[in-house]
Amino acid sequence: MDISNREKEIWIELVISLLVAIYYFKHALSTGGFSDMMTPELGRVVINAILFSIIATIVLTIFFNIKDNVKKDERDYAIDAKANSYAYYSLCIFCMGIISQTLISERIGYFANSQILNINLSTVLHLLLLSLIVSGIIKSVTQLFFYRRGY
Amino acid sequence: MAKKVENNIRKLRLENNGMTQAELAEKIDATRQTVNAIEAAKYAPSLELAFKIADVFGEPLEKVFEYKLTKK
Repeated sequence: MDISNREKEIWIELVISLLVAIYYFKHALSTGGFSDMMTPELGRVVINAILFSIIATIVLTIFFNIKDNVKKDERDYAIDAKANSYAYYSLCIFCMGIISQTLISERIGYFANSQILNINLSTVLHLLLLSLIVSGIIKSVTQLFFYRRGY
Repeated sequence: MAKKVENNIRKLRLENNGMTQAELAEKIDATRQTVNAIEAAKYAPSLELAFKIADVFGEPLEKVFEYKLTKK
């Protein structure tokens, strides 16, 4: 299968995003609900995740011999634009969901006994982070879909 | 019925001293992958790019590209 350098870059981005998300949320959900974001333990997890993504990106880029000077043409820009718009729409939907859940939780008081659905500041921050990660994944998947299937 | 932009680019390339996809890509300022996608009718180029391709082969646009209705 002929995979362009651009597709390799997107695959690397996608795989690293997934690994970082799994690592982070495994720790963030270790208490049964979303743990407090301001703890030193979670801070260490965040630093480890950042370091891992930087090192993994460099190593995989060198391993797959991805050249830095790959130019983008109109097809690349068109696919990027489409992928960005899908990521944007999904991010909007997630944010609306978080806002709605916050209002329901604060005003109506449902889900008061639920550790996941009872919204507090840490939960909102975790959910926003999750929304950003999922939107990024949607963008990468959309790009790969259009590169493979045609645009 | 599906609408598709088909082309004779591969045929014209081979008739032009066996021009490669990479060589054509260089002449039209695109990537080899885009030329491959256009030939496979997986990507419909912009008007500007279509004209550039036609220019490379010295042929009118309608000889290089064809807009077809195909059965889905």
